[in-house]
Amino acid sequence: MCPSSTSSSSGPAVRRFVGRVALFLVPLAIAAAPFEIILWRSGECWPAPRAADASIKDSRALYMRRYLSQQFTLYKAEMIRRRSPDVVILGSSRVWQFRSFMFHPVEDRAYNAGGLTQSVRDLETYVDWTMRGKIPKPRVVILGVDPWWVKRAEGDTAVDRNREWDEGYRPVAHFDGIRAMILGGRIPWSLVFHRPRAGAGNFHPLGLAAVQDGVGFRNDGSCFCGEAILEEFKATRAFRDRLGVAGHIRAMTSQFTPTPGIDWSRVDRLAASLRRLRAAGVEVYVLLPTFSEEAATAFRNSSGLGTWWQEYVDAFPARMAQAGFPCLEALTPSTYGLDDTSMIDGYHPGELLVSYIVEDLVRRAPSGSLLRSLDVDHLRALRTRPGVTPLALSSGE
Amino acid sequence: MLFNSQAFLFFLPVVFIAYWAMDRTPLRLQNLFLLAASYVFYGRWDWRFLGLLFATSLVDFLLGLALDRAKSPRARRLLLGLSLFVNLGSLGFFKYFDFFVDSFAALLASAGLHPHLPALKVILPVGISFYTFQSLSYTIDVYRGRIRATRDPCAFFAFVSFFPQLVAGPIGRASEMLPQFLAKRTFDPAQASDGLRQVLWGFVKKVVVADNLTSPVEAAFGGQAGLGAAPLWIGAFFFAIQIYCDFSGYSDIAIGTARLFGISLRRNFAYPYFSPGIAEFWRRWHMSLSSWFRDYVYIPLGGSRVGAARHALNVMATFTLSGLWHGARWTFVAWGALHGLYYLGSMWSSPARRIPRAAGIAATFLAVLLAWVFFRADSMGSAISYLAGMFGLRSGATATSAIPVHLLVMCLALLAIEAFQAGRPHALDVNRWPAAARWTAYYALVLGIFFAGNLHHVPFIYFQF
Repeated sequence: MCPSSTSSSSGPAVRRFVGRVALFLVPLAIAAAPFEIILWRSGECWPAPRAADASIKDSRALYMRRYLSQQFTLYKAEMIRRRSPDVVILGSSRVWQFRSFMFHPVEDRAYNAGGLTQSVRDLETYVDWTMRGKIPKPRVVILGVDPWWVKRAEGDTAVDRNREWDEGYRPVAHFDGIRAMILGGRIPWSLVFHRPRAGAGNFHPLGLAAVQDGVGFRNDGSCFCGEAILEEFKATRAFRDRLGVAGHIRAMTSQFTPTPGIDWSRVDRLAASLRRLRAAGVEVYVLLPTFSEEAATAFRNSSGLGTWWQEYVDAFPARMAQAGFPCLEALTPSTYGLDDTSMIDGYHPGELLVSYIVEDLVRRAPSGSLLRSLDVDHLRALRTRPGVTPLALSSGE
Repeated sequence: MLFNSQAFLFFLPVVFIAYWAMDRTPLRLQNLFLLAASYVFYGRWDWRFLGLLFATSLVDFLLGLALDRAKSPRARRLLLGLSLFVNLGSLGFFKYFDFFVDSFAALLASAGLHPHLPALKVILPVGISFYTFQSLSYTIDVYRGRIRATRDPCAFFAFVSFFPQLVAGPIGRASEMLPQFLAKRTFDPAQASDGLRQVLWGFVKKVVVADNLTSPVEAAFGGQAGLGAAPLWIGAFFFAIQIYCDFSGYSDIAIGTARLFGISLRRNFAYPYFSPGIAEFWRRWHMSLSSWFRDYVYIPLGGSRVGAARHALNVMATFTLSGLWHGARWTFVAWGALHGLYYLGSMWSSPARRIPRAAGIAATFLAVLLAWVFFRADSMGSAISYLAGMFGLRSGATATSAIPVHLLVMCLALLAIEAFQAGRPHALDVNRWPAAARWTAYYALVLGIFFAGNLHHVPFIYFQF
């Protein structure tokens, strides 16, 4: 058995074979082409750096993906890199209504990075990135901590943000997006031929959530919840738990599956991350974001969740205070004399409520803090502007 | 790298084109390229274990040469023993060390002793059970004089690490595969086309059928405590289909991919769920492993040419070991042993009691399905509880779950297609169909993958073995 060398060539046969395979793929490629054009034209499949560049250049940009994974972390990290803000708001979607204009006169230096950190592990990654200079270090961090971040028996997010691939570059994500678009029956055919037009609030939409639903991140990182919600509120002046949060709590579904209580080891990791930030000269404010009164009542009365809630509102802030991080407990609208009409849904506070939170933070800030320089009178004046609703302090945007 | 990952989507065409572009270069260079591609394929999972793969190949290559030269039977036995020690030693260390330590600790604990035994929490190198057995078959065959040792390291290393079969088989035999790496390969368009068809069918089985059954199977086996008999039967049925489609899907992709490179791999599945008896089931299920155990364990133990009691022992030993091969868990041992008992039962049953073929197929499927409960369950207790639930021998079942009719229809459709194509090398062997029908079938399957497939590369179940 000796090695031999090849003599005759398989080249022509291989070329014919490759040609036949290519021929087979051509109709599939043709069928996929309009969908790829839609994904590209809409900005849906733009990689995060490109989307961030567009958002920075255009102050009326509104960005959010719908069919590809939204990858808030990648996008918000890119925005932080470009804006180098002094004030960064961290947390989940529940802090999305912090607007930069609430931070007058340093509004240009505030950025809402809500969505960048959605768990204790994400926070650790953020701190790590900040310490390593991967993203700029702010002067102030306002962190909203959700109860499920520290819930026992809740797996920490499985995503290692250091290994997160941008969906824009992943062909499988494109396939997935196209499939979801077709099966969802909402194909914006006009985008095959035209760029997306300015939508509600005169925003320039990027990404199909922004194009189709008018929902997305403004230039300051806050989230515009969509014209439909605002119009509905203006018409009814009533609270509606659109996401069924109270129902989920009562049924113990979604994030609210039964748990014996808080995972204190995770609380310790949270405090350790915040200590690292503070040691690096960053002021840290911890916030317990708001639930509707209805949702909070459901929590309190729940047999499977009651202990968890009680620990979240009592023992958790005590432990954090002990660690040197007293929490601002904006647990329900009544904290500021408001009611559930100031909530977008069961656990997303509207802008009016958030303005009270900002005012509260200013009050708690030590002298010399950047937050102390905020114009509280300006903030108060915002609440009385014409056209203001509890959900939106700046009418229509 | 997974076959169902996007990296493979780029890897395969690039390697295919480069490989055949090297057609006129010396064969050794082409083999070297294949070796490099295989190491890239494997290294994308964890490059640290490339050393182990290399070491296994090197040891067996050198021992093969030494066996060829050695004249005295004692020296040859010694060299074979060394090969067995190295191969089975590394397999034992990586796969079974913690299992035996834990089992020993449990045994001591039951006697009231609580020693502190070392648990290394060793990471299992993917594919080790497959490539170790493949490499081992080489030294055993050289020892037995069935083949001569090769002096071409490129060919040998490429044979051991050939990427389509590296991580989950089919387990190749040196006597069949090595000559293919030592001879010029010519591109055969018909073979390549059929290979692509087999790859396509493999993907359908994996991403459309197996991956869509993952959730209901997890729900049944994870939440079995509250489930009644019907959902537990459906869960077990789904697992039977899932593991078949997952593993035979992988095998189809592996065999089809190898054919693109002009290499023939062993067939691994031959419509096993249409077997009328358990013995035939094992001639059709994971054929490369069952024949490996037959040739290198069962027959050396004496096979059937011994007394009845010894024969039964040989059967049980072979099946139990094949169960243990799957993983370091007592449930796998129980699964293997149960199949051993089935086998003995079928062997000793009177030929006069032969039942109609259809009834035999149904009975075999039922027996195999019950055994799968051990294979899938996390523990022996969980398996027994699941089986008790299936037969209504357990109280406390309160949860009701809707029967996923669409998944049942999908499973039955798959079985119907396989029944229709039974006898063919693979279910998409449609070369005799008119071109229009063929291409329609291909597009239908591609669209099926696109619309119904789970594209989030769910790992193959057999990767853990």
